[in-house]
Amino acid sequence: MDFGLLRGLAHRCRHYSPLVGIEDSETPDSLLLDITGGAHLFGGEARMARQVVADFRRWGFLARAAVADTIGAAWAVTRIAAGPVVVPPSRQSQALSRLPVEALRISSEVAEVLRVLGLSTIGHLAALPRETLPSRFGPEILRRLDQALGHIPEPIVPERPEEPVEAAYGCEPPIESRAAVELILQRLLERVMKRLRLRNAGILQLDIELSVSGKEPTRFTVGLVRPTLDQKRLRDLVRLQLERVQLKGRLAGASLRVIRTASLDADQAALFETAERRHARRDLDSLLNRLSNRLGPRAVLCPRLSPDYEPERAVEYATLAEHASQLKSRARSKQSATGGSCRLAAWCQLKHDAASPQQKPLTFVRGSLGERKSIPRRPLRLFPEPVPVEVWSVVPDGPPIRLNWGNRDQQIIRCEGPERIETGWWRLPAIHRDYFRADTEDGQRLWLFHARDEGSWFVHGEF
Amino acid sequence: MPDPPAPKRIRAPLTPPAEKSGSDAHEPLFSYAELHCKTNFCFLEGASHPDELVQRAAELRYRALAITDLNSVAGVVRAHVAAKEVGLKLLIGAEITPADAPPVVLLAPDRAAYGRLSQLITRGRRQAEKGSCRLTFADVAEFSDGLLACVRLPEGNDEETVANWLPRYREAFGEGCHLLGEIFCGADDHFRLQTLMRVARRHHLPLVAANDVHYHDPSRQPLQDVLTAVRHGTTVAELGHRRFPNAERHLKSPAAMRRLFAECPEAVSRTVELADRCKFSLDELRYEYPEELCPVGLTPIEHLSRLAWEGVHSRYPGGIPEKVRGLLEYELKLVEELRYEAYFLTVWDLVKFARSRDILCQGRGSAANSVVCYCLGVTSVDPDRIDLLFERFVSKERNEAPDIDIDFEHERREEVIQYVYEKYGRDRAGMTASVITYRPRSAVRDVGKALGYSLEEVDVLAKTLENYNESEKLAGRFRESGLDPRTRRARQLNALVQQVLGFPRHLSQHVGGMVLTQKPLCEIVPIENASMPGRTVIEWDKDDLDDLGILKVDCLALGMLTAIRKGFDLIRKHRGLELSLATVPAEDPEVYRMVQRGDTLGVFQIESRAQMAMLPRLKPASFYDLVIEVAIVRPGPIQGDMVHPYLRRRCGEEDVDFPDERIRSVLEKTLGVPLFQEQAMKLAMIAGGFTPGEADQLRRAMGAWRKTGVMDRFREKLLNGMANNGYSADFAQRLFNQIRGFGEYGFPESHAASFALLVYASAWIKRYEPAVFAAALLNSQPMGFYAPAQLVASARDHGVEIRPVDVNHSEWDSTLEEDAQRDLALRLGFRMLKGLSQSQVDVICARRVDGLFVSFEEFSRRTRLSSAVLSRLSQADAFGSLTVGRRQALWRSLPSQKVMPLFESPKSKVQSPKSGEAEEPVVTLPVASPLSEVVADYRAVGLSLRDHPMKFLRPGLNKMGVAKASDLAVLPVDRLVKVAGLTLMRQRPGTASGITFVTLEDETGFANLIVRPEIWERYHHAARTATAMLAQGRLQRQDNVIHVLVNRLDDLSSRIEDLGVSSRDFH
Repeated sequence: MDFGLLRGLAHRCRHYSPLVGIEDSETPDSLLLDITGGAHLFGGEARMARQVVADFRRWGFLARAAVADTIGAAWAVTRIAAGPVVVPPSRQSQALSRLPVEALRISSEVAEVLRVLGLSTIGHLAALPRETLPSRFGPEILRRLDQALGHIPEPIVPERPEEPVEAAYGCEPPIESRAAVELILQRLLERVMKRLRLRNAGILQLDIELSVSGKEPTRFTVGLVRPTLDQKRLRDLVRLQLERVQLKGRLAGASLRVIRTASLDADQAALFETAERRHARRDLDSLLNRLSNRLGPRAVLCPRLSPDYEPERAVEYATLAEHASQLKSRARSKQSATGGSCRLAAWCQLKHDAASPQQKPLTFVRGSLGERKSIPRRPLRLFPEPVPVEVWSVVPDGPPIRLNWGNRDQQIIRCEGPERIETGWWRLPAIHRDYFRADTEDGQRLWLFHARDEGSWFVHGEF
Repeated sequence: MPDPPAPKRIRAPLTPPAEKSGSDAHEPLFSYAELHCKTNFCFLEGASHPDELVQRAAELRYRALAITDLNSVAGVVRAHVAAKEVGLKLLIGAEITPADAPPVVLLAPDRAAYGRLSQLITRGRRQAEKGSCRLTFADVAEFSDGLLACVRLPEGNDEETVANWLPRYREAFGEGCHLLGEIFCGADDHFRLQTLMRVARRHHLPLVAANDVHYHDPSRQPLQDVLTAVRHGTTVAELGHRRFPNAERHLKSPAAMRRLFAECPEAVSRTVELADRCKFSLDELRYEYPEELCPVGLTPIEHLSRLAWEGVHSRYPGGIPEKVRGLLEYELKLVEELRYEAYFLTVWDLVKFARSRDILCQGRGSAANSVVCYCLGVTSVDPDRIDLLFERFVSKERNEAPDIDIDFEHERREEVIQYVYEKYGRDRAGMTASVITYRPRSAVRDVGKALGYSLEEVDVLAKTLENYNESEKLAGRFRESGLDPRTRRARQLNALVQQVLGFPRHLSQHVGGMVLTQKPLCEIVPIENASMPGRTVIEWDKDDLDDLGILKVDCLALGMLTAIRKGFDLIRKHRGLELSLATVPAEDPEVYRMVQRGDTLGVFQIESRAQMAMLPRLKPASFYDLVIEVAIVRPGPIQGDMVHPYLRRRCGEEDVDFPDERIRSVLEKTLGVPLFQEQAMKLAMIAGGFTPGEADQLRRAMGAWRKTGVMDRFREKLLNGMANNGYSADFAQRLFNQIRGFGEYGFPESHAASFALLVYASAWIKRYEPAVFAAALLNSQPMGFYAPAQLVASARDHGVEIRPVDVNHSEWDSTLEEDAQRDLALRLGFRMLKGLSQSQVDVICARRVDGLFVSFEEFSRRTRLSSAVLSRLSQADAFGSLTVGRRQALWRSLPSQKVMPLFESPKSKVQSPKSGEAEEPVVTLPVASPLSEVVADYRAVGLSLRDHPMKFLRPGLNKMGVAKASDLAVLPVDRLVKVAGLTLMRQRPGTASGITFVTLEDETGFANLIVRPEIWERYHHAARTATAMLAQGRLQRQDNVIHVLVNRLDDLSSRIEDLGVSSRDFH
């Protein structure tokens, strides 16, 4: 059984008992509940057991339940009896004696030997002189027997849920001052950070909820590129978001909840990285954090080469998170021994459109482009859609000599090609194109292709 | 039993391109020879079969085509055969990839150079793991003499590499060194070509054009991408730049190549010059046999004749029959003419070695049933004893190599193989390869994954396919697997799977084919490491060797030979009778009577359920009947609907008629029904007008995996031929169906005859010495159809006393114990116990020499065996003669330990634990019930001499109305019955359209179940895994054959186990 699932079920069982544990086994599939002094709340032990089984059925699980003085006895009875069974107090020895030895939580190899010896029930085993057992069947067997019979204690290791890291503040009376709101959030931030510091975890995502009396609460999310516990940086990011938020009234309360964390150890400096470079990297990180928190995650993108022969698919845009994870994994796999040095933003285009920041992505180029050699000659401007043109050539399928583009006839004075690209048969549309680099009499250098399926020509870019 | 033939792609005969008409109008304007071409023997790289490439090259009127697989010549023979058919000049070469230098394409202009190429590849492959090759430039230089080299400059290489290596290549290969110019419509073709031309000029290397061909036609691009994805373990979509950007690496027309290299036309014309310099053809690989087999001063044929005549005198001490003398003279003449004498001497040498080591062996195959082989002792089938076989010998006009397989005892074949390696050395002996090809399941798996289907989807789909001949059904299987067959991806999968079927996947080791040569073998064909340590494998498979006329000897392992040899040994020991395969009393009617009863459990070949059911109907009464029996109950004859006509005729229910005398001559002895491969071929020749060569092709088509269309070609030819010879269309069609029925499993008469001899010998032992028979089979396990439990039960039925395993009486093997009446009782051996090794048993036997054991403690002290071993012996109840029961023995086997006082003296510490025994409290264990004893017996020994486990369930079964197996013979037919028993076997013959045959055993006998596929599916779990089951179904009985046609199955395994532990009372 999936351990996570079992743990989840253990948490759900906490309303039967404050002490719920999972059995200590390599393949655990039993929950242990200490119901000492609590059974009468459910109408007695038998009713309680039935209630538990019924509840599990409702949750979609077929469960068996038994109540006994010892874990071992209850465990054994559930292996054998289908219905809920209550072993009366101090009667486990009678209850166990007719049960097969497998019910003792011993290895199947030992159980097999016991069976051949005719010692098939726990009663058989218990009747033998104790001292003859360990040398033959290992020390485990006496421990299990004693645990089941209650000769030695066996504690339940309780299962406790991991509590979410959150903090909340109620304002009485409600406040209006923005500075006060900011201050409150800062305090909350400090509180969660204190707890995270103990775990050495950095924040990757925060959810903040601001409640206004009588209105829908306002929520926003702060995301980061790298996990951090840097108070100043987090405060700045929260403030950036807060600036864009319009409170619909006075603030009645605020809560802050940490959604995603990651270990802080991951942020290691590269070998031989100069302090200067490291600072530059940090600066860039904080710039990126600020921009993407301000504009939204899909607004700050990074173009990267994609190993695809189809020109339209040879470049793709990744969000910062995707890019960061890719860089990290590449660094780990040592593949990019050459491209490992990170160059700072080579080029930055800022086109801010407040109305719809998603549509015009702000683009950063970062890192080296890899081996220059492997990139075939491609135009600086690639049209999003190939533009149909009329082209004349001497031989069919041959190089173009003249073209008509935008109602202008042009002579082609020099032409290189064809570069043949045939790809995409597995995803459709498959393309079969012959590309030419063509110099026109006007001095334009165009990237033309001849679609071999249809026989038509297109301009795909400009050098 | 021979392995089922590996499915193999059979190609349709190639057609040479249309003859040139009067003018030379078809002669291409430009001549071109492709010098760099990979076949699909570059596993997961090349995407065309060698013959497809050859055919296309011929159509394009290439001057020549070079086959240059990566560090391999595995595909050249297939290309060679195809090239001969279409009249294309083939160049033999390989692309060699040294670890430290640029790759180079090497071509062999003559035989000597080819030898060096083969040695070079051998060097690289022997140095590396199976399937890979590791070479350095120094290796290449060492073997460079006489080879033509075309150095490749992989794209993107910088000038330094060029400067470094080109002069060294030039130094190694001299005038034979060239630079390979290859452009594939990339972005900078012009620039690349200019660079290559400049480099070539600077280093004084001529530039030759080539196209790094990966497939014969651009339409194979998707398949090539898929193979690439499989190679990289990824999907096509994820391949990125690891696939080629376009489909240019195909065979282009000479004119297209000329256009591509317009800037450097001499690069194209040089290909022809290079091709013209290559004079080597694989036909030159004349095969030379080892010579040391022949004493000095004698020619091989003299030596062979002498051996044969010596042999014939000892075989026929009472005088040589005239027929035999004539045949021997004729055969020796033929052997001399065809120069096969060394081959026969080689076989004779192996047999002689085996005999010197007392390893039983027998030859089979077309040549094995010759008088020569009988006289040399290779076979024991007296040619005088059975009617003459058809092509009983190599036939001259067919130019077919003689075929001899030798079966050895399965436990000792390795000795023979190591003998061969020792005698001839690893340089001169190698195992034949076997080419593992894509079959429907593996094809669906690999292609499916490459197309991005999830593992689960691919798995479900693959599982719906049986491995043979089901690829056509793929489209239909999609729906079954919950996939939509109409999607683009499904259609692509379907098409690509069809293409990839039959593609070689890797080379493996043939089960026993060995090639031996006079000169180093590695000059003929590269040798590589096999996965089995100590083995080496050549790159060609048996068909390749056949095509080149290189002879091989198949050394196969046969369990029954082990059993028969052990049987003969036991008969010698206990009866003082010296027997061999040839001297087992022939044609004993008692033996045939037993066989006719179907009492053949354990007998070679005729022990299967189908065979047993057939025996009472066929009633074999002579040796040739056994030959037929061996051949008839096989999928081939069953599919060809030959069994029932034969049976009817045999029982006299149907007249035997022949359309004419010619056909009578072929089919007379099988009552007009073609049963053997030889008959099918002969019929094709006599009635269908096939030439011997075509008949041979037909034989191969029959013996191999049917590719759609190939047999149909023969069909047309056969039907037309028969019409021309005046046979009715109906008869012709029937005959064709029969021939096609041979399909995968066609059985040659020559094999059947050798097998029949083993059938007879084993049946003879069973009839006259059932105790010997059982002991011999038990000591040869694992083999055969039946588990030891059934063999022992059968021996008991024949009155043999069986005695249990016992530490005072048993040995490793099962033995025979004589009583006062010289009756033999069978003592089970320790080898039947699970988890016991022979060395542990040796200890027991060695200590026993000093006197029998008297008590358990004494046994344990004298043998000093570990607690684990003692436990195993105890669990098998092997202390019976010491009057210690299983449970007590097991208890005492487990380590005991006195509880030590807290402060013990150092002295007591060194005391052996055994000394504490006396002080341990005495333990009373529960007394075992009879059933729990039986269950424990089964667990430890696999059988029980006490009672059948089903007997204990019987009271419960009776209440449920379950019949005993013995009742099935008398219960009314066509009624519902219930039977229960241990599951002995489940069989699903390929011919039975998914029906599974299950055999159950209860305390009264066997019950045979027929489980249809839908029932199988419904009770899937019980059907597949239950060790005991309860079946309900309709009783069928016909000609003493009893079946239950099952409609319900229940698992009884747990009931048996539960019963086994039901003893719970202390007594």
